[in-house]
Formats: sequence, C-alpha cells, structure tokens
Amino acid sequence: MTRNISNKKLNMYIRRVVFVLAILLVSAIQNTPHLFPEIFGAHAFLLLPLIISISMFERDIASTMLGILAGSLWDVSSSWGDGFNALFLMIIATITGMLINYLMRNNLSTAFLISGISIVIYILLHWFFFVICRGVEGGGLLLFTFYFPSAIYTFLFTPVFYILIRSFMKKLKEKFPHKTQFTRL
Amino acid sequence: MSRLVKTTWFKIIILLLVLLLVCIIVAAATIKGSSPLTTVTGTIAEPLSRVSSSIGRGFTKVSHFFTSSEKYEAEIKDLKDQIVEYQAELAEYEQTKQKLELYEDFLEIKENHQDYEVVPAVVIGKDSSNSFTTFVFNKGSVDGVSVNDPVIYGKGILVGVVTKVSPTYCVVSTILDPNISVSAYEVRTRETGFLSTTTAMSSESLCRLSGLERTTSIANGGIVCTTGVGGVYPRDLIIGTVKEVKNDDKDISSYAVIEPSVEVGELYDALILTSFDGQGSSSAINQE
Repeated sequence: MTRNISNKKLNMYIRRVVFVLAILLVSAIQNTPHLFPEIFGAHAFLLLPLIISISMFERDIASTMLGILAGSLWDVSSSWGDGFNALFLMIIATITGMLINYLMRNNLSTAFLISGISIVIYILLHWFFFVICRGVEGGGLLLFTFYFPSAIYTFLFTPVFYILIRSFMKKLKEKFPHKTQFTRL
Repeated sequence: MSRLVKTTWFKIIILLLVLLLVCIIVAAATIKGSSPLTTVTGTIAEPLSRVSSSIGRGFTKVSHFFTSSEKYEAEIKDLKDQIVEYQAELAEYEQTKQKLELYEDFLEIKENHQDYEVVPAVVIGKDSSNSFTTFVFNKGSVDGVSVNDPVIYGKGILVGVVTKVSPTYCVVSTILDPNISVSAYEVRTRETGFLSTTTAMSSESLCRLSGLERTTSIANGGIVCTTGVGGVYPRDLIIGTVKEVKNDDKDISSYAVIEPSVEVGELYDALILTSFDGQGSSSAINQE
C-alpha cells in the first residue's frame, strides 16, 4: 500500500514537471521569430492543442494552472489585450478536464473535436476583440487571409501532441503503476 | 449542479477566474499595458526567450548550407563537420560584426543628435497571434524604456513604437501595424499627412501616407520622414520611400504608397529612443 501511494506521487510529480517543461519549450518555439515556419503568413498557435492534450490527461485544478501558465507565457509577447490568452487557456483547460472526467471518452477523436472547436472559438474571439472592435481597416478580410489559415495550421498539430502525451502517460504508468480514481488511459 | 458548486475545486477555479479578470483590468487601466501576472511570468521566462531567439537566428544561417550526396557519404560527412565548425566561427564573426555596426550607428546618432538617449535592444520574441509584425525586445523599464518610446534602426530609420513594457522586456508594434499612426511629411515637397497602413498593405510590407491633396506633387522615390508633431516621434526620422501615388476612393484626397526603409520582418536588433527633445509635447511642423 505504501509503495502504491509513493508510485502515485512520483507519477504526479514527474508528470507535472514534464508538462511544465513542455509548455516552456512549445512557448519558446511558438513565440520566437524564425524558429518555427510560417506557411503563407499563417502562424501555428501551438500552445492551444498542447494545453488541450495536457488537460485530457491531467486533473482539474492542475490543468487549470497549466492553462494559466501557458496563457501567461503567450501574453508576454502579445501587444494587445494582456491577459486574454491566460484567461482563454485557463477556461479551455478547465472545460476540457471536466468534459473528459465526467462526460467524454479520452481518445483521439475527442481530442480532434475539442481542439477544433477551441481553435475556432479562439480565432473568432481574437479577431472580434482585437481587429473588429479596434476598427482595423480591412479587418474582415483578415479572418480569411490570416485567422482561418492559422487555425487549420494549428489544428494539424493536435494529433501530434495528443499521441506524444498519451505515449508518455502510458510509459509513466508502466514505470510507476498505481490505482487511480479517473480512467484516463 | 448544486453539488458541483459546493466543491472546493470549483471555488478555486472561480477564485482564479476572478484574479485573472482583475489582472486584465489592471493591464487595461495602467499605462504600461502589462498585468502583474504577465510581468512576473515574462521576467522569469525572458532568459529562455533570449536563448531560443539565438537558436532561431542560428537556424536561419545554418539550415541552407547543408547538402547531401549518396555517392561519397563518408567524405561528405567529414566535409560537413568542417563546414559546421567554420559556420559556427562565421556566425560568431557575423554577430560581432552586426554588434559593431549597431554600435557605430549608435555613436553616429549620438554625435548628430545630442539630445537622443538610446538603448540598444535585441529581438527575443514575436507575437504569433497577430499577423502584423510585433516584436519583443530584451530591454524594459529597468533600462529606462517606457510606453510610446520610438524604436529606430541604423542611422535614424523609424521601426515602430513601444506599446507594452515590463521590467526586463518590452513589446514593440511596428509601422506595419494598422493601429500605429505617425505624422509624416515628404522631404522634397514638404507636404504633410499621416502614415498608417491597412491589413492588405501590411501583408505586403507597405504603408500609406494619407491626407494628401488631389493636386499633390509627391512623386515616386520621394523620401518620407516624421514631422515630430504629437511628441511621440522626434522630427526627421526616415520612414520610407514613395512607391506610387493614388487617389483615395473614399474622399477627395490622395495617398502615397510607402515602402519602409527597413525590412521590418527581418529585424534582429534596434535602438529604443528613451528620451529626446520635445518628447511628450506637440511641436511645430516647420521649425526651419
């Protein structure tokens, strides 16, 4: 029994350290110029699918905090609306955690569904608050020339992050087996 | 539902939500534009941004040098190792050379403009969530940078303006951002207007000098500079050159399409003007 509790805590600590490092790394890749390719001007918002994938395997409060961390790192480089990304990723992480815990199965199809909807909501909100409300000339066209291409580009990374995190969680559970209240794998 | 509301984790999430909203309101209300949460996160993560920025610069220089051949694999591998070694030395030389050029420009600016206080800065990040060029520089309020400080390149070419500042970094919106507007004039004809851009022009790295008369005599190749009106940008900072002149279809004015003198998208470093004569106050257009 003691060994089981110890495995559980070890699993938790290692999992969360790895997730924090992953968020730091992906944030650096996303927000550093010339480090990640832009395709015809479309940017990849890598933190979005990453946080969704993490939230599908993490407990509610922890995923909320990781969402805030990722959003804050994103806000560092944003010129408008400080706090928007932190708030959005926090809400998405919380909702994703709740959906997986109480309502939906944890599989790639669910990851695609949640990620797709989240990305679309993000680009629409960002476009509305920071382009339309600010009266940027030609803002309507920007939705189709920048935001939608970026959304598609971002969506392509959903299976990459989900599969990586799922593989990591499986290996972690094999190494530190324990009984868990939630069935995540 | 009532059981859910009574749980501890729900209360924690609501508390976090309220705290984040307070941070957003503080960010919007203060002139720095940065919330306490983002300031702390950015200050802690700034060293990582510098490292990743260096790696990014290395990628652009190294990536196109690699070639491969199936026939002489071993020999090519040795040659590639040698090339990587020479490239590292070359990259270091180029970086030192760039720094030297930047400091030479800095010295010339100081000699020509005694009132300028400048801080050299390096790009360490970029805002990925908007299509307009926005950079994060490695200087902040600790170095004397504040919101609305102009950012220049080389011998006085306008790049943009500081829109958000934290202790160790600042965010700069460039002249390719439609939210940035600069009072400008064409050097030969002395005609004044305001420089801005649209989303379509920004994607082509172009700006427009609007508010010109229909009978404007501005011609292609004309140089556009800042007027100094408004107190945000000093006078006579070079913005770009006139590419063509068109009639505005919304009113009876004309506008000039301006090509910036600096390649904004390829910026690695710049100078932040923290102080100059007339900063923060309106000044007359024709002082001579």
